[in-house]
Amino acid sequence: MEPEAPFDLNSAIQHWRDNLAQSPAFSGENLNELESHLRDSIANLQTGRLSSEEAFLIGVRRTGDVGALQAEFGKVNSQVVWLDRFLWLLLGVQFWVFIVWADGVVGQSAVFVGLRGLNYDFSVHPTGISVALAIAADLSLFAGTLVIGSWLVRRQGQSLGRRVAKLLKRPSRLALGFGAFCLVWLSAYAVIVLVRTTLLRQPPRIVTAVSISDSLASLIHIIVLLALTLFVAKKRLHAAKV
Amino acid sequence: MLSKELVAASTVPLVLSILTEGETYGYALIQRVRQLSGGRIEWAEGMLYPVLHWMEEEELIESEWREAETGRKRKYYRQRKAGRKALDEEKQQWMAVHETLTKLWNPKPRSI
Repeated sequence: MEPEAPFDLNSAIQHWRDNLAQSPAFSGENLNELESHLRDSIANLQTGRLSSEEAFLIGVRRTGDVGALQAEFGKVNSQVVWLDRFLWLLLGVQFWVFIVWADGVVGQSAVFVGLRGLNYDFSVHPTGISVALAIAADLSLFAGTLVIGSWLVRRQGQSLGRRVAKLLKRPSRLALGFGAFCLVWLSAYAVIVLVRTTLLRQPPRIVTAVSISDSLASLIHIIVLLALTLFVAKKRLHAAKV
Repeated sequence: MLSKELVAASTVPLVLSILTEGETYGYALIQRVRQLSGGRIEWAEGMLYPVLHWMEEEELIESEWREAETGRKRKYYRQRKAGRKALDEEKQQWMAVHETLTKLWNPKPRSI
């Protein structure tokens, strides 16, 4: 039999704390207080004949079950819990917008290719500005999504690197989902850039009109969505500070 | 052991009463209740903190992070004016229940 690794109380406590920190029900201060409580409890238990590992296990047990603690703290921090849910919802909506948009890219490409096949006369004005605006909006949406996503991970004072390392060690649905999201986003983005540069070189009247209205509509759409997301994120940040 | 409902109802007066003895922190509060009740009142320890935070919001108590003699930081709770008033009201209500039940059960409590 291999000898067991010696028990490290501090890393055990950190692990316990990280586990709680995954829930928005606990603010950073709540976690500090619970950790202080656990350390008091362990110190007291160790004055008996318990080893640090035994004291830790009993201390954690006495402090309370994670689910029950989460429910009770969530009642006090309900605003944060709901803002967090809403933020995730908005990220979900952005994801949905992206799917619809990628779907639109495929449709536009099909129309373009089809018109070319019919020997349509490609000799009208370029759509430079609106296309550039749409591309800028797409990029800022992507950047905003990344920033808010990473902020959600970093909340509760956890470092991004440690959290990512943890997620990679135990790949949760979140990490996989977000990774896949970024990958699909990037590849689809490459496709639309390709299609739009082709459009700029040879802009047919119909494709131009469709492209301008489509770009402007998605621009407004994205701006509204971004503004709403930023508003909620700001409120959530403020709530976390209080 | 106390029922869940009684534990919930008695937490606020217990906390307020202990804080009249002076400021203290969460873990010590729980230990004090355990000691005073001879272990008959057992709180799920972590559950005390949301109650304390609620009481703080209601301005019954106030808190402060301070370094303890161990070198670690602890959050100390203190009673506020409104807390003293709330405790007086709680006292009257609990005494009313207590006196009524005592009259019914004394001098000879009926055995089952």
